[in-house]
Amino acid sequence: MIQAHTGGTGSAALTLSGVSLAYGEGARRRAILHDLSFDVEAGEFLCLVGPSGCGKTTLLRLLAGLVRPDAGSIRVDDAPVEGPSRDRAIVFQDYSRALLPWRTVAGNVALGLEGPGARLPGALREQRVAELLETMSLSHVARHYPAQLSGGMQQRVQIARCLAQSPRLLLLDEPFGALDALVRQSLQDELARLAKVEGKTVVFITHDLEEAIYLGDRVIVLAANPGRIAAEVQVDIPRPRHQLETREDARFLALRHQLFGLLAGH
Amino acid sequence: MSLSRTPGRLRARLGEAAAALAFALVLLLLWHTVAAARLVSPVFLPAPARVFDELGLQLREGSLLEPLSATTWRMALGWALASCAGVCLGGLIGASPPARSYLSPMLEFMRPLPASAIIPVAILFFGLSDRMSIAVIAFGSVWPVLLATVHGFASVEPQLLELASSLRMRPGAILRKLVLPGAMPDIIAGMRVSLAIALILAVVTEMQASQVGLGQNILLAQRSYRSAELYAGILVLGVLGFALNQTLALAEARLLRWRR
Amino acid sequence: MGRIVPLRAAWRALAVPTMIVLAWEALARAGQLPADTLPPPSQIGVAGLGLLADGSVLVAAWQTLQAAVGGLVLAAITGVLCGVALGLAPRAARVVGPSIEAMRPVPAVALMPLALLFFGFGLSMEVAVVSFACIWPVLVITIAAVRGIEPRLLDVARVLEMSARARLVQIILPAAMARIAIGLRLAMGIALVVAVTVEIAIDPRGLGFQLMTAQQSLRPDLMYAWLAWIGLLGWGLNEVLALFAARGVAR
Repeated sequence: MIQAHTGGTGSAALTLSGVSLAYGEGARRRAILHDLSFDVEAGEFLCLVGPSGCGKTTLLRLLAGLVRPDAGSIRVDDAPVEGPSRDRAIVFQDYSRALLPWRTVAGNVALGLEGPGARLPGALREQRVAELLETMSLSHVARHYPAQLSGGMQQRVQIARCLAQSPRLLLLDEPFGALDALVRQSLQDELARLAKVEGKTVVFITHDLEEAIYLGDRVIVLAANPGRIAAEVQVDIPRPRHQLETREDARFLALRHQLFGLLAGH
Repeated sequence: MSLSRTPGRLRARLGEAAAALAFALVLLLLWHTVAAARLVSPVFLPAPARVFDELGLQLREGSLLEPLSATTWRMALGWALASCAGVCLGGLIGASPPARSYLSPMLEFMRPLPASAIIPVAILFFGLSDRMSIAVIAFGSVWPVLLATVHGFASVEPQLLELASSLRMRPGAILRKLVLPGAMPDIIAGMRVSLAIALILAVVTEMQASQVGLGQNILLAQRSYRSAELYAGILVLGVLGFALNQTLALAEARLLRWRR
Repeated sequence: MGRIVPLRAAWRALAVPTMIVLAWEALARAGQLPADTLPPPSQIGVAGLGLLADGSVLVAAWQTLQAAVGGLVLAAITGVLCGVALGLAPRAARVVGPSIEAMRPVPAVALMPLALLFFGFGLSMEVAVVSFACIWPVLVITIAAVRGIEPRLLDVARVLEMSARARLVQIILPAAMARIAIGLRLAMGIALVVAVTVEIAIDPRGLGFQLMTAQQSLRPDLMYAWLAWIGLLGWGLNEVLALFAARGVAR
């Protein structure tokens, strides 16, 4: 296994050791995840890629603290995960059901600034919302309702809301899976840039191998039934990456060849 | 292209509006002719002019004001009580699956019960009083709001609840920011149905209890064969129903403008 | 396991009403409730069975159903015919529409005195009021259903050079039927409610009148018994219609 961590700073922001989870009762009990162990360095962009049924989404829900593992431990900054925390923001795949349809774009972003431990004075809050809208190129639709926006724009709103939370860890569940190719590419580049600029630790789930290699500092390939680690590779392609050149880079193609069989074989 | 089309479309729409108005006038003329030719006895069918005269007289004298405000007040009070009780009870039941499984079947059983059937029960408890009317109106119009609220609270998007827990929102905030706005379309639809029922029950209970109001007015007019007054009363009730429904439709459009 | 769940659901559905009835009975027997407003449920049950035994429930229910079904049939025929016509001729609909919309908000009960004036007491006035109340859902839903017919179906009819009659019977009505049935089901519920209401308020016949009479003759047990029968009839009718609707969807 390759041990060089180009993207991270060297200290583990997230540690999984021996995590297992099963659903169902009695004879129908089925293992979803089996004995998963890996670290994510602070500031690292980790991509998890796997076929459907490998428990990707379940894994992300575990990291968010929405579900508890049956066995093993999950630690964030050396503290065990015991439930959801504002330090870990989650971007859901189904953007249409993850926004409040009765709030404007600005209102949805502000949601990330509300709640316990996030009491900003009104003026500061508005300023922060405006900054985030600017960052995600949403300023011109600030007063629109989600139903008036395209899927790509709705997903931008969701990302902006997650950034508003000022999380240490950004968890994304196939966020661009439902978007068309051009929109997907521009959002990929923006996310990659933002993650590095803001120094966020990112766990990004996808079923698209190329997307995983393109975005990640490291890629973990999961195998299905039950979900377990099949391979782990370091992506030593310098940033900023480029949609055309990176995808034609020899290292990119080599990784793609190396991992393709693993995904197709299952 | 669009320049030449817009006036054309406008003209077509104006033409249709004129045709619709003309049709209404034809109906009125038909009524007038039938009444004037005495095809139907004026005891049953007064000429439209007599009805409008009667209405004008009531407006000028101010004699319309008392029954109109009495009916509207009872209806509004009963409806407001029903809406509050319906949203609170419906929210409690809808938010808790066990409460739903114990109470929903009973509520579904009571829904098809004609609301007016509890008039005698209310008379038994309250006598022929205003309290009786308001109790009947409130009880009869609570069901649509109640059942709609149960449905609205029970069908909150589960992913939004996960979002709430990942934002560590408190129960109060979840209720205020997620559940209530999410259930609002259902609640408002229920309240509109309830308002129509409330008006009906206000009219019926007035007739039953001989209380001042539009319902009693038309019943008395019929008993003394004052047909112009009877028709005028029906007209006023129609306008009241229309105005109430329009007001709520407006409120709905404003509150739910996010639904595109 | 599939059997246990409905059983548990039924048990839960009955738990609260049973507790209420038992508590009511116990309190009434202990003399804690005023007998002239809340007689014990057992007494109400006896009165209800008595009404069934002497056939008065059946007579009254028959009278009420006559009015409800009569009004519904009248409304259904008029509503479906007018609805199909207006649905097929959107221009005519826009001309006639405002006049119809002006009549729709009139609460049906406001027409009770008028119907009484024209028809006197009895079945006809009840039918008139019921049909006025029922026609609106039928009309509105029929118009929407006909407008919602797949336009290609109508093209097919035109290509086949069907006669207007054949188009109506073979294309339009079958295509719109599922939605029209929803309107009819809605109207049936309204029909029963309005019939009972008219009987309570004015017309001396049927279940509503018996309910009112029981109250006026200071027989609360009989009154609650009539109320229970009315509730059962409403519930039963609703279940039957739901069954029909479910079968229609399955087909």
